[in-house]
Amino acid sequence: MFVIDCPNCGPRDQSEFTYAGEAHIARPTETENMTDAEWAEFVFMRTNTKGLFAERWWHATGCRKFFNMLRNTATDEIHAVYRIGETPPKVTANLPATPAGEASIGSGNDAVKIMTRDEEAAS
Amino acid sequence: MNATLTAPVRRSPLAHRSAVSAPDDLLHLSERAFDAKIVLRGLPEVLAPAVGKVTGLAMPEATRSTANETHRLLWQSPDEFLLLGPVDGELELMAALTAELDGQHVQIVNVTDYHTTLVLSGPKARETLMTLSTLDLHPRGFALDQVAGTTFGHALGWLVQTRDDEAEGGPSFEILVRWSHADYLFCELTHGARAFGMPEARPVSGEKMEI
Repeated sequence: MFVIDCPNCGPRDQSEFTYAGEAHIARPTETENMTDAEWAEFVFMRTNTKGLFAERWWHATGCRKFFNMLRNTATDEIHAVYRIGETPPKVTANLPATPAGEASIGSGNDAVKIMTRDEEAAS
Repeated sequence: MNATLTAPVRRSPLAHRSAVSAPDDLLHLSERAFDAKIVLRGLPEVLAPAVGKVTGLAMPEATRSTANETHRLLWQSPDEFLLLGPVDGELELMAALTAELDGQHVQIVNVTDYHTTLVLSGPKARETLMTLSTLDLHPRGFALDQVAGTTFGHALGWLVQTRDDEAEGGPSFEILVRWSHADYLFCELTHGARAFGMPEARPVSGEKMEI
């Protein structure tokens, strides 16, 4: 559980919010000329970033407005909250240094967890 | 035809409950049904003149409410406000606001029968609400006239503090809750206040009380 700073209501518990997918996906114009592949790209394909990710959230029980958030999906650290229509602010994020881009700490994914020498010896 | 059968009669959602209290005036829980409730949607600067003229209230800032003896205006979102008024006053308010806001880009909806108001007052009111909500309910975090929409147990509700902590009898809170959730929330509030000697109530529909 974490606290989200709603741009309208202020800091509230995560349970009041609903996740609403990746942000900044523009609805295509001239949809009548689009191929099925282009439709599939728009409707289904998401970047699924591990690390800093711009996403939409909805404050379901409070102001019932959507807003954007920059969140590190590996560590759940929230770097910025900004309104719909605004460009993502520049943030300084402590992103993972591993070659594949995994978070070195705080990741719930055991497959990419960095082990200490003691843990390694014990396993 | 029997006039008593056709007369319009309202029955509040908690008509089967009576007000309950904890010993030593620690807590009082009751329902105040049928307050006039009107949702106003529109930009505050558009709504402000009409609301001021009809009710005498100023538009509240974010997460706040404004009130006088008869009316209260709750902020619900940047373009949505809930106006509470006296019982049986909703049609009059609707007519006055509609006339004032004629032609403007606004929405005025009578939601009197959507919600009911639970009034929880007393020195232990904050602690009782804390058992049900994730809000920061410390007096520094939630003060007089403040408004928050949140969940209480499984029920959605709008919380507003209507009496200051320093006032005689302790703080008073009002929760605007959906008609159909009112009995559940009433029981949850009595359940949360067990520690203060509140008599417990069980939901008539058999909802689970465990959160």
